[in-house]
Amino acid sequence: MPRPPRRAIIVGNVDEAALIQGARGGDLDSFNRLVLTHQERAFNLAYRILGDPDSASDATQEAFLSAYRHLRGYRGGSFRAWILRIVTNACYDELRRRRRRPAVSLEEMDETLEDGDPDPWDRLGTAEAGPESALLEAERLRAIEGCLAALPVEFRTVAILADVQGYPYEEVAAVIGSPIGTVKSRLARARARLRECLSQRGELFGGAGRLSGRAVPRMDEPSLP
Amino acid sequence: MSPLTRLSPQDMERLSAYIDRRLLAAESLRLEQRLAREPQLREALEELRWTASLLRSLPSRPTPRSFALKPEAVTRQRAASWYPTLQLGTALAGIAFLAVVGLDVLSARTTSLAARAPAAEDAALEAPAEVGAELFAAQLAETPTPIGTGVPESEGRIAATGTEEPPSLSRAAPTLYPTDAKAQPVETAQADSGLPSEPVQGFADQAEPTTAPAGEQSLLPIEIALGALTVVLGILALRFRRRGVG
Repeated sequence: MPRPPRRAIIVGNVDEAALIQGARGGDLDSFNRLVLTHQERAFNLAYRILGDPDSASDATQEAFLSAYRHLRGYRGGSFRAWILRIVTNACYDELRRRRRRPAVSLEEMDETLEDGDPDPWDRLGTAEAGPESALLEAERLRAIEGCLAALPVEFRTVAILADVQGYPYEEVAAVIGSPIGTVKSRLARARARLRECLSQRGELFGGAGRLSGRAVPRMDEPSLP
Repeated sequence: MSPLTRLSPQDMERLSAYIDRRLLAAESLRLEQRLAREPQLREALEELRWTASLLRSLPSRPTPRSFALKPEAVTRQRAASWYPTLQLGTALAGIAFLAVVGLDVLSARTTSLAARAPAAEDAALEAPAEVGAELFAAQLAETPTPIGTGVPESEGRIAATGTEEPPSLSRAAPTLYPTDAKAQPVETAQADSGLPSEPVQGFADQAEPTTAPAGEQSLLPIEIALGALTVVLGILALRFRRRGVG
């Protein structure tokens, strides 16, 4: 498949390469402009991998500090992929720390995912839809997040990058540092496992896990945003 | 049971890549032909597609705060980045310090063991010792120069300390004065370290500058330096750690 020609990425009227150059020279303002551009994606990736906003915040901050310190190690290519790779590694470090010193039991984590404390983010769309519909939507989101969190971390990361965040295989491969074949294989398994998990919450999706009449992309539709 | 569970891993990968339009044209065509005649494959495809669409429907969560770096955080992190290096340095200096002290203690013990060499060893050396004693006596006779007058004595010392003789002869040289049995081991040790025995006054005087403690004296400054280095690096590591944490 022919790839589109590489374009300079513009960050607030400034070329990303110029900002990277400036940050390498020690200009913190240049680096912070890059941070502002990528922080939402970085935080969302960390949040989806770790499952809680506080740890995700810490991992994201840690990743940006590490990126600033190791900016000379950036050898061109997608800066976003480079940043996301650092975020992914920070999350893996955090998961390893948790495994060594588990502060929260798996049951508690599961309860948090199942019940969760009220969060404005969980009540998305309440203004437009009725309370019942909003509650159902929140339950669906929670079910999807729960199934995502139950995946092995390497499958979860690929599913987040490719499906939740919509990156092409090449960029996912750059983030996880594996060949495209691995991305394909992990994504297929992640989707199949998620399907199995969601089928147990069939009542939320219209029937016992069957297709719910939600908008499903047509076969000829481009799948990536 | 979901049709996905009955799929082979290869078919699952094919379907997943097909959803993302990542199959080559020929592969895509072959899969479409199969889809047209295999309803279960079609069903599996729809399920995968539905799952992917659910994941894509997850909204992006707004960031709780800005992650822009503050100058003090960068400075703090720079300080903290020295911590592992200093920690490693402290550990290495400590190991080196212990190694040198250990070596020193070991060599001191070896010397003291040699000083207490069993009498049996000396007995075994008795026969050659007599030869050595005769030779030693002859050399003394040839050099009647008074003690402390220089060159001839020095020459005699070289011969007596075994430079030109086999080790057994030099070890045995002190048996020239076996008047006291208790004194024997001490004399043997002195011969070992290249020193003449006590009764040969001239040789003892000359040997003083190159006595055995010279080895200990050379290790002591290294021990002190390594000990000090360990302490200094340890203090620095603690300071940088606190700066990084705070």
